Amino acid sequence: MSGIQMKTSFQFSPECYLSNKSPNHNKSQSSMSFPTRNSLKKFTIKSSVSSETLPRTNRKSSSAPSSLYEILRVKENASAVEIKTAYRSLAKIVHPDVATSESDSRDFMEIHKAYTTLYDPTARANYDLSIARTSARYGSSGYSTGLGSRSDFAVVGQMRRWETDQCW
Amino acid sequence: MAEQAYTVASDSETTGEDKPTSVYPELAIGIDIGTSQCSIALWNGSEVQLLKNSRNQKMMRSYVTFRDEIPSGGVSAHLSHEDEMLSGSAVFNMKRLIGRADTDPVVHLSKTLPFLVQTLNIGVRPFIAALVNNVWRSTTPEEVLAVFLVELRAMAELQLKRVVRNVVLTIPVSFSRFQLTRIERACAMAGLHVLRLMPEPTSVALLYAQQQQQLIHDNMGSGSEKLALIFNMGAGYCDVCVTATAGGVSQIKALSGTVVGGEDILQNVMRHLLPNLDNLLSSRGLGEIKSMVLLRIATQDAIHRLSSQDGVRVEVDLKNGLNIYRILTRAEFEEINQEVFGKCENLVRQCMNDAKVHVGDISDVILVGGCSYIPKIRSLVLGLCNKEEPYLGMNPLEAAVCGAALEGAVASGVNDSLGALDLLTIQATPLSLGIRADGSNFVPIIHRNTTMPARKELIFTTAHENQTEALIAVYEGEGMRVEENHLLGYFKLVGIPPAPKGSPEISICMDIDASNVLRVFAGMLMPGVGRPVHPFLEVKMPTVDDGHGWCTEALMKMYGSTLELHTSQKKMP
Repeated sequence: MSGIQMKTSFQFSPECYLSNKSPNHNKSQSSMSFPTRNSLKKFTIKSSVSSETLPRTNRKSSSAPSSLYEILRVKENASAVEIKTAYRSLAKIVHPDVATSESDSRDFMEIHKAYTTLYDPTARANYDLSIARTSARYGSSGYSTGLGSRSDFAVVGQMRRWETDQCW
Repeated sequence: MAEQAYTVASDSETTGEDKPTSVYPELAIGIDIGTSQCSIALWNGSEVQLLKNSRNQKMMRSYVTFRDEIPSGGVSAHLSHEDEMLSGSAVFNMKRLIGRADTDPVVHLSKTLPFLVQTLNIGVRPFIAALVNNVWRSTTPEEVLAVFLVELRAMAELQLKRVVRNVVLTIPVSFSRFQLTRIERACAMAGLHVLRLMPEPTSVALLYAQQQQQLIHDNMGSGSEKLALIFNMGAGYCDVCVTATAGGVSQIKALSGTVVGGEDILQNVMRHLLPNLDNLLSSRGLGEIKSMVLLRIATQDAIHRLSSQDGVRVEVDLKNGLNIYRILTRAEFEEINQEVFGKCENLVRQCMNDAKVHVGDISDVILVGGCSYIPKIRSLVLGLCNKEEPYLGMNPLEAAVCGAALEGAVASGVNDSLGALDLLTIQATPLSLGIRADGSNFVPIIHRNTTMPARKELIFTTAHENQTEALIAVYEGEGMRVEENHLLGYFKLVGIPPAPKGSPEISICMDIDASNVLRVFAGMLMPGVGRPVHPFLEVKMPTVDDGHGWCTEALMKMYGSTLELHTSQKKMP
């Protein structure tokens, strides 16, 4: 099962859009680089944010699929403590307050989203179920836009509800 | 004194984009501007160091005295007597007044202060004036803060022998984004660039995270996650925060705060000692100001003594034939301040509730701020957290500024070879952000206590048939109705293709970046496809200026409900 899951390509960008690209994009493409948080470069950041992340203008073009587990760099059977530890150590690298390299808030938001989903037992179960379902139904390779979107929708729907309650 | 260099900058000044760049990052210093006291600290390479003024004080009174032409602040001024500060020529408590309209109850409460606070109750900035040579001379909260900040800056530059430009300032949790722009304006007037505005308890949380990290270095800590409740109450504001700390990372789980503090306690006791206080205030002659000042000093003193005694004697000749000669007991004190304590209790409960923590999970209760010395406050907060003793590792008056200094070092990119600055605060939004929709309802898009940086989107739709324009009014607060919240700005979305009501998809997206800048993106989406119909609008908030109380009214009068939005039942694809 886990092998199949690995091939499932969910892209949890801050907007939770499903990537329809093939699953073999590597991680480096996922972390799109942007000008740093340095306030002196604020205008550069602004332009990249506005053009790139405007709601759903370019979901097809967003690259880099990875599972939430891959985002946090943990195993799929990682414990809650491991997930939290991974989140903290990644935050110390990518959070805009401390990041020295090219990184912007999107990297952190992605990690945060992965963490909040996987740390919450219900959300994690739903997520596991959704990726299992997708892989089981559509086999190991790529799948069509519509179907992929639907399963993404399910995850997003559940997460949304939780997000409203939890206010993270 | 050297000449006061006021550099008043343009409207967009507060972001500091035009500041000269330096190859080496400049170490930002931490400043805690309290309602009554302020302090300044920085990372000196191995630890946090508080700077002292020429009178060897680490805590300086937050006030500015207007005399002749040059105003002077509490950093440098030498006051012969405490009552000189209260003679009408000194302006203080600016943190309670900054960014507030003259309809705000907090502004009205400030009328017992010895300087002039005049209100017209129409939603504009109150008129504030200091008595100089028997003339009430006008000033503004921003100006007073700027004078004060200039002095702090001069003091720091003299001691550090370098230019100080970047600062991390602590702010109350309950400050609206509009108030933050006023603070930034005051800093800009003083030639300072705000690197971060940190809610006070989160700055204490960072200090706590560093101390926990230090314990692990010394092989005394377990390294596992620790939950702490931080209660911070000063003269002007009360803030609560729950933080989860591990590995030098302080994750803010929840924040709560309101404008209640030592000033309210002081006023309650003053009114208790002199029930007809308001009569005394109405005329504002020199004699009345003098009486009020004497009462204020005597009351302050009594409250301080009540922290260690069960009863105190209050004896004061207020002149004008008024005398107070009585005993004030602690039970009496607690009785008259019941409402204040009730508010504190609610804040603690709300914060624990929002953070979803159980009392038993809290490792440490940290009590900071001047009011944390009040026995009732201590027992109340400790009782709510089911603890016998508070955390003893920090100085209640210096914790906030120390945290700000740490943040200043971290945010400036300073590294410490021993890993003492291997720290991070993951901040949360103190107030919900949303827009007006479904009539006058407030629809939150980014909820309170959302981890920052954050980006959230909601889909809205039109309220009328063939509606081609929509008014996006952005608010901040927790009220269900927009009137209860703070207006941040508004703009019009045009070019919606005529369609039956409820069918267009209007996307409103809010983004808070790491510097806590809020941007609102709005646009029409092509149904089913999710592509924008026209270019999106991107608006940096807040856009309102003084007199913002009028905006809502003017908009309603002009457009009524014609440009209204509804929340969409459509889920986001």
